Amino acid sequence: MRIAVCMKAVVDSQARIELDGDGNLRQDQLRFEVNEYDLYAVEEAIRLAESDEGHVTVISAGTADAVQGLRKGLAMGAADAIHVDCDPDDLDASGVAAVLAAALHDGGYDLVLAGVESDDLGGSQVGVLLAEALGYASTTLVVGTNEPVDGAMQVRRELEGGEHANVQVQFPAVLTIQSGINEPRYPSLKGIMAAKRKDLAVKGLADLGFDGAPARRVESLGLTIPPPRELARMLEGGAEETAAELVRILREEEKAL
Amino acid sequence: MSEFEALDFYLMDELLSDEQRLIRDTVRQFVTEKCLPIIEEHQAAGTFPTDLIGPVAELGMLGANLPEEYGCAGLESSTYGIMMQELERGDSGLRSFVSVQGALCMYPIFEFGSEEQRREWLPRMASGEVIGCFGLTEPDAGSDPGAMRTTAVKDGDDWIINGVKMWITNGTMAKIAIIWAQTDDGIRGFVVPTDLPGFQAIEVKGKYSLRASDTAELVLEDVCVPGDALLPKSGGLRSPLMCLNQARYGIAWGGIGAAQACFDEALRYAKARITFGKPVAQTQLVQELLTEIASEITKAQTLCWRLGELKDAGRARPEQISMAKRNNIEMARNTARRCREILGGNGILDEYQAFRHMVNLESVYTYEGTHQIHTLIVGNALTGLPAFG
Ligand SMILES: Cc1cc2nc3c(=O)[nH]c(=O)nc-3n(C[C@H](O)[C@H](O)[C@H](O)COP(=O)(O)OP(=O)(O)OC[C@H]3O[C@@H](n4cnc5c(N)ncnc54)[C@H](O)[C@@H]3O)c2cc1C
Repeated sequence: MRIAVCMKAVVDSQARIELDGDGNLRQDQLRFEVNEYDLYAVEEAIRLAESDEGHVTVISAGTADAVQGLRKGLAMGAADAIHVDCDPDDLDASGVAAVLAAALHDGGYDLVLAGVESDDLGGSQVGVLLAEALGYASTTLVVGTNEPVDGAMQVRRELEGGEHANVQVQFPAVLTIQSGINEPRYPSLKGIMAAKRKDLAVKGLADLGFDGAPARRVESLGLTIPPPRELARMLEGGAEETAAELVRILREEEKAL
Repeated sequence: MSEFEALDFYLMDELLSDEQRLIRDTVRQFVTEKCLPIIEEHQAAGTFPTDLIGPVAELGMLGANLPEEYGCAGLESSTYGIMMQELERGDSGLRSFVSVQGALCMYPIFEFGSEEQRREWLPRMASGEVIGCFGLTEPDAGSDPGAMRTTAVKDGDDWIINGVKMWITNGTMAKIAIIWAQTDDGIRGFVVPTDLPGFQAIEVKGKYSLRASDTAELVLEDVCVPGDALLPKSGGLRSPLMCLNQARYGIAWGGIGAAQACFDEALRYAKARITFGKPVAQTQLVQELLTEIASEITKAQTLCWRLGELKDAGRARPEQISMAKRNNIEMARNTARRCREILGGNGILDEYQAFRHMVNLESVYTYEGTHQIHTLIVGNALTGLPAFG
């Protein structure tokens, strides 16, 4: 089985987010890390490949910040990596999908895994649009996989209320992976050192047949930080007093009880 | 509590390679997820967290700087140091376990052992199947190990070992002990299986420090080992001192980690704790403390970085390693204490890390060459006049 996993460098959740006067992110303050959902996808791919002598490729479209995530994927056990060198700010979700599709098109992959969403933008679009661009089947919110049988796989999807649905999906397919499907392994130190020797191909947009970045059809106009909410209310006094006051507030003011 | 943030005042991060950064982040995450949630319980109970041995080995942290052909990760010195720094950010006891296994047990087998000994022991020690301990110190020979009384006497092809070793880390759980003993040929090292008749390991009770570490007294009474237990290339006091140099190098990095843990905690606390209507961090006296600590941590970082470069180039001299161990552990010890102070009364609670690091660092200050002994090693190098005796 050949599996590709899409990985994105997202803004570090601990990083300080500051906007300049025009509503743009102040880039100098930013740090990047791998999108956490993608680590679940890498882990799932490696497990599937381990039981099947499969081959896992990790791929990321982005600036040099994407490389660290690819190295982590390689250190966890992926066989090779593709870095599509481009500025993701030039692309909307369908542009990212088009670029990834161009890089994966001739790879003969049975499965492409992606995180359900990215930790920073949370669009939940790239996986599904990628399936469309590749002409693959797709299913989302996957919380369980099974051994493939006859070119198809049964997977478990998470539904809104927490119930699960079992679906059968024909290969080739894109699955978007929900967090909690597994416990991503720590890359071992040996794995990290060995990853240095694995193949990390760098491709530019021109190499993939694009004449410049695919035009954005969804344009980002700027970011705003919501106004701070009303301050928290501190209750003073002993435990009994404050508990009684809390119950009164929840009951009478907030009507929560 | 939000994630640990390491002080990096001089942007040392920019010096790291991609691999080094990934290793740093991986060990940091491991410590946050696996060590910190359980370490206070072990500190209170006085037990080593044996559950961590498997994961530590799986990550490849045992003998991590030894070659891959023996099942190790083959890290360069700076990377190995970064790993040690992150481990000690968790706990000095956990870092001690890794130091002893790698630098004090696997290293001598690699350096002084035969090819058979390397192949027999190193892969199983890297995987955590075989735990080792290092028996140099004796009740009456600590700073002056040359005064050791343990003997190994040739008996046909075998050796008969007699003696008492004190303060031996990993002592009760070890499957093998690297025992240093006087022979007709001077001091030599032996790989001694701990299940042999006459070998006894007795837990050291009543420690206030390094409580999440296994410390034992070893008693060897007519322990008979075969000829191939001798580490053939060991010879003289120089051999165990070479091991100590390896370990001291890692400890120098470890001190930065312990200090970073305390500083991060104290800084957050100082910014959140209000007295007289403002954060204590906004008082001149606390800012002076924080500035002092941050300066010392930064100096220790730059010292270690350069030392790592020298070590990778095969140029690190023992006195340079001594200077780093001496400086960085004193720095960490002072840092833990000052950070404890910044936490006020909360600083004596096990909800915070400062006190645990503070008491642990007392051991680190004393073992692997006391602070004073390192003073004398550097002093000797500077003056050419040994002042030990
Ligand atoms: C928790 C712990 C774990 C340890 N683990 C191990 C281990 O795994 N294996 C092992 O072999 N050992 C181990 N040790 C032993 C450690 O290395 C010794 O305790 C250390 O070398 C000091 O020896 P000592 O305790 O006998 O002190 P002493 O040598 O008796 O020193 C007492 C004091 O005198 C000072 N002093 C001594 N000589 C001089 C001098 N010439 N000039 C000035 N000052 C001097 C010392 O600095 C110290 O302050 C461990 C110790 C501890 C506490």
